Amino acid sequence: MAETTKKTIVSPQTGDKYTHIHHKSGLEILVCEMEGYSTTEAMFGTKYGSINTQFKTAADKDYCTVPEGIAHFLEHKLFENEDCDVFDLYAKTGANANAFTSFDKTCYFFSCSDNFKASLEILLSFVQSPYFTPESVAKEQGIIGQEIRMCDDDPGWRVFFNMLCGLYQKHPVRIDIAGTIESIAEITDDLLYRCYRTFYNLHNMVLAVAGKCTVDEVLEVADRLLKPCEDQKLETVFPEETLDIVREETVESAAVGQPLFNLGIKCQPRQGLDNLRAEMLADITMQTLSGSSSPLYQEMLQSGLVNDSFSSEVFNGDGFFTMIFGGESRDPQAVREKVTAAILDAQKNGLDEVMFNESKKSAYGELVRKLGNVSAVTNTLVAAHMAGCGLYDPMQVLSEMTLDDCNRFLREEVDVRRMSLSVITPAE
Amino acid sequence: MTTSYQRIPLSDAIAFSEILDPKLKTNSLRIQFLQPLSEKNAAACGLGGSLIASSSKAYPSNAIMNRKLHMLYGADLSCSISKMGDVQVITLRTSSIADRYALEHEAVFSELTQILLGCIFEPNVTDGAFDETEFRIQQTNLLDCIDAEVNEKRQYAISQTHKTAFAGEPAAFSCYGTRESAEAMTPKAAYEAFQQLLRTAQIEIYFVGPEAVPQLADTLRQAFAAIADRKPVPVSFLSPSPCKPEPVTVREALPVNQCKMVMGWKTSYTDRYALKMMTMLLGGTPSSKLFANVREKMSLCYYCAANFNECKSFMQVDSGIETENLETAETAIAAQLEAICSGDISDEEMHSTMMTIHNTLCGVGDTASSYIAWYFGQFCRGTKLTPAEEEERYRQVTREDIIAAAKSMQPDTVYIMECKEQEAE
Repeated sequence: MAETTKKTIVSPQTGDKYTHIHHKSGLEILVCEMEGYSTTEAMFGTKYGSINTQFKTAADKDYCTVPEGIAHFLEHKLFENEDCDVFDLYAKTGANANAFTSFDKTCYFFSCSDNFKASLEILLSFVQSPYFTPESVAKEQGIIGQEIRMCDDDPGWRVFFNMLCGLYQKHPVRIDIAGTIESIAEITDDLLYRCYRTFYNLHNMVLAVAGKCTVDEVLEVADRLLKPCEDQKLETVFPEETLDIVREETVESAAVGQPLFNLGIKCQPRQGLDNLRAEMLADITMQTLSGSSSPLYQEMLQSGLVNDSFSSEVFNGDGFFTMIFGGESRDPQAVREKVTAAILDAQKNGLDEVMFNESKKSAYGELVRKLGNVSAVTNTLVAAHMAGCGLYDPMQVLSEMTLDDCNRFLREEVDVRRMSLSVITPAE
Repeated sequence: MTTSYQRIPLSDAIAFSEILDPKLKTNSLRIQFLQPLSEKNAAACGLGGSLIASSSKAYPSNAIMNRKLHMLYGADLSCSISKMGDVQVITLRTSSIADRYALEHEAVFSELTQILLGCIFEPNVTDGAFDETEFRIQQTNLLDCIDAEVNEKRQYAISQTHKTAFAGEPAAFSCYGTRESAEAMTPKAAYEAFQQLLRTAQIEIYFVGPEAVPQLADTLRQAFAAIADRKPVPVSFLSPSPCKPEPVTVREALPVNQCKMVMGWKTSYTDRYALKMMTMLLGGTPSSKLFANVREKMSLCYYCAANFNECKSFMQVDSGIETENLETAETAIAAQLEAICSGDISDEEMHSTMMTIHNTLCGVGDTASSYIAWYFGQFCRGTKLTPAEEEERYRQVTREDIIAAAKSMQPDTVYIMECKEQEAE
């Protein structure tokens, strides 16, 4: 068995630090001791999300395909132990616990101000102790069916997924994280066990702890409770996806006050530090182009085309990378025209240097702020690790970024022909 | 929690609270204007506040202001509008990274403070009216915000419940005002409304940062001394809502896939600690009766949570339910409250509720917002408790107190958002 090793990672910009532990069990553990804080947050995550529907391990001959929504289903079911509900255990320590499933990860977490070790014991124990029966699976199908219908009433969620369906032909990012009523009906206890054994292997997982804690406390519990396991050489695959989009526009109606829109541009996905660099380049490029002091935003705001809900974001992960402009507008098609014209102009003439420097400085401030928040540090530790980066890498990437880099990104990576608009209009 | 806290009266009904904690990486300054919520003035004051935060004489458009804020490392300068019972709260807020993180060691926060004071006391005004262009932008934002209330169904259902539950009381109104009043506003009327707010509001100012900012209290005192003819109007945060003679049920059909139901009760019981503990035990945690029974055991709703609105002595349980389960869920929710009334409270439930309270109170002070929420809460209730002292009050609550709190609850309002038949596409 390998030995546990520790490494201290320091931010050259702020002097903050955390410890990266390679645990002998195969788990990577990240601990950020934050002096003066009263709360501790711990997050135990697996690199397993809604998009991972096709996979194999070294022991499997062929790839296995599972129903959409199964990662999220598994997250729900893991909260049920053989003899009790996990929330009943947390109720004894007072920790505030929850979990989430995203496109590419499932995370279980708690925050507490006391009884940290007892709560960490609960977290590490229940995530390593699955218990599924046909009866409990059938019951959960009802609860998740309600969750799916609730999300169907969320216009922000609908407009986002309609955009993804307009951009992606085959990649499972186009499917709702919770799946559909039909797909979750196919889930069985056996399938859940198979997914669990494949993805909840410590080599595919990470534990992050931040706030009032010490490395020794975390290691004491980890040494006792983590069950060492072999790396299964997990492989996940996705259907081949070109950069072509599905359709230019999707319109749906719902109970909303104003039309909502998401305008997505499909870009080439990347991995690891390359992905982080591309993500930050895309973010700074969009801020420079359409941030709150930009001519584009001001023109749209002053003409009443958008309101202050207009924003931009980068949505990226394993096999997908999308730049999104979104908000409310009486005329989303006109917004698309304005954004397209601004992109084409910047591709030809370059981005504004003053705006670029403003965006960079603003992004630096945002990164510093995050480092002072226990929850943000925990979340970012997990997300960065799963993306193949460290907590402080964004600050380093930002400090090295130049205007030329952004201009090159805009010219080489952004193609307005790969743009899809999604609109939710008010129902009559 | 805090390493240093002091509250300094600046003048009549204006106070400055300084909270220092060396671990923080940001400086935050928040100015809260408090006034009785009125349907007539809500939109005007909200709009006035938004305009104050968006530009000033020195930074005469939101574009120029935003540009400056970006250069101050993405500092925040904004206005938010909320309500606490019958009180409208208009908050002007700034926050920035602490100066020690500035790349060229700039004095970020003192510059930001001057910008905020410039917004309030040297606004972007000509001939007694806000700049027309900025006014139109903020008016559109407000109108769209009012229209968008229906987008978030859970919150919309709660707002609709309050309209019926508090009918005839200020708390029934939206803190943003009505669409009609927002539409009727003019640049002049919005400016006058803000000037009136300066003269009549109670003003609570909070600074939270890693270290003291020299002369900050004096700077604020001097700035606010410039308000002429100040006549603060007292506000009352605790204004219990009288229970209706007969419970009222309101139904509204919307094109949705899932129903929402909000059940509301009122009480004249005054022990806030017993009321809050009872509400948590009923539906405030994942181990509460509503979550454990109505959601987990009976699978009747995806969410089902209880909250106590101390300002109005009003408890609500909000839930998302399938149409066919509405009646069963209503009965099941009422049965959980009835169970508490009849003394069905285990030691584990008492313990876990207390542990949750302990956990929450110990976490006060890990963010600037939690510090401000804590001290503002103390101000509203007229108390000066520490979280530890507050926890001790909760520990004094007995099972009998919780039963009495539950028994005091009178059914008042039920709001149901029904699924409107949707045409097949």
